[in-house]
Amino acid sequence: MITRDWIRLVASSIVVLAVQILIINNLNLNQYMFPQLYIILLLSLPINLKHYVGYLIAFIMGFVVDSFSYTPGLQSFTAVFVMFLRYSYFNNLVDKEWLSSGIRPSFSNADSGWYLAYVSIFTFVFHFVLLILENFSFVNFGGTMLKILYSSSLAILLILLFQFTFNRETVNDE
Amino acid sequence: MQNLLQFIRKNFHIFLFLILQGISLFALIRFNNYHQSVFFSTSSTVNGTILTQRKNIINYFSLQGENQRLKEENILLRTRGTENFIFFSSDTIDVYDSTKTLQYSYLPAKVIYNSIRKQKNYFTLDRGSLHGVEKGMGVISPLGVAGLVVDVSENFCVAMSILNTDFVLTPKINGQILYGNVNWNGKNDEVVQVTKISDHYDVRVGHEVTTTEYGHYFPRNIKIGNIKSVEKSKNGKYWDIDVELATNMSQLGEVYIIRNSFKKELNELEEGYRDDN
Repeated sequence: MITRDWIRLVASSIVVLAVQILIINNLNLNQYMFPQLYIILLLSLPINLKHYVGYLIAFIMGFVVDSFSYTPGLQSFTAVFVMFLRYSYFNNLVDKEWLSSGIRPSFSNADSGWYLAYVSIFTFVFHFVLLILENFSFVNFGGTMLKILYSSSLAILLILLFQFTFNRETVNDE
Repeated sequence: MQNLLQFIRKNFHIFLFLILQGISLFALIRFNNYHQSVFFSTSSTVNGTILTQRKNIINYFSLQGENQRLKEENILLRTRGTENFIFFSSDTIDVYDSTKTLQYSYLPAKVIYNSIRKQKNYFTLDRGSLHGVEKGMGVISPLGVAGLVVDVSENFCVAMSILNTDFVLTPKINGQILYGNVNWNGKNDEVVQVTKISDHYDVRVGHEVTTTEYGHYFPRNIKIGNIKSVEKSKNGKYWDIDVELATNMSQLGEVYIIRNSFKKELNELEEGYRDDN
């Protein structure tokens, strides 16, 4: 990542985290909807970003969200874990040439079908780990599953919306 | 040695991953017990300032509802004033009453952060140790019980919401103290549960559930809510009671922190006799 990328990452992090903390965390849609929009930041990091940088970024973001919602360790654990899964995926299941191009996955520079699946799967996994960990037990498992389904669907929707809104910038930059 | 260093350097990211996960897990298990909420006091000072700014803006949107609630409370208080009573006998004498002293006082506060969607919910208030807030003080909204202060910094405090699965209170149902527990099951943010009430008590839908002085957090007869449904528990010995909360926790705005002037004395006296439930 060059300096411009870092500046962009910090700027977009501030915006997205502010939306997450100040708006989404305070929306009371219903008991089952608790979407985590900020993972779009993790999903759109460059795919060949050094591992330790990726983990540190995930940890810091999780920590910030945690400290505002009084759930120490919950978000940071999940974020770092999902980052691990993301690296496992990119290092083993993607061809090396594409990996070395170092793109930031979005609609404009990847196959849209692939991107949709990529966002959906990782968002679902994130909410799965997060909410299972939050409950810390399998009591009322049906309710937790429902919460996972609703929350991740809403999050996917929000992320796609976010992508459509801010995609134009990335196209102009390229 | 050389090999070891090389190995560490080569797999640095894996070690970092494990370390970060370890830190997170440690934090998750260590700090989520509210007694050890060191995390809160350090972060609440910083976050409090940001959250206050946010609340200052958001406040405008809820002014109308807030006004309505204050009006309702005013009406309630007005009906308690002496001017609403007729004194049939005129032979009253003014006495200086030294047998009474104020036990509970109320400190108004604003909610600057609130959550209701987790299993263990907390809210933050804009009053702290500078204003005399201490751990273990009760928090009520104009309509009923809201929570319990669990952590205090200089200017802010964090309260455990009644919508927290760790929150436990002894209830008074229909004016009678019953040895059960008011405790939330984590499902519906408008309904809390009362458990362990023996089924030979007369408990009916619509009965009022209020606080007791047990634990010295709240004065007696502060409303918790009204009973919504009563069912026999699975083993048939107890009632399973659902209580509709008087306070709308999702709209928590203006609250009062309750100071019990004798709490310290009472706690010191009772220390050693109390069995932790």
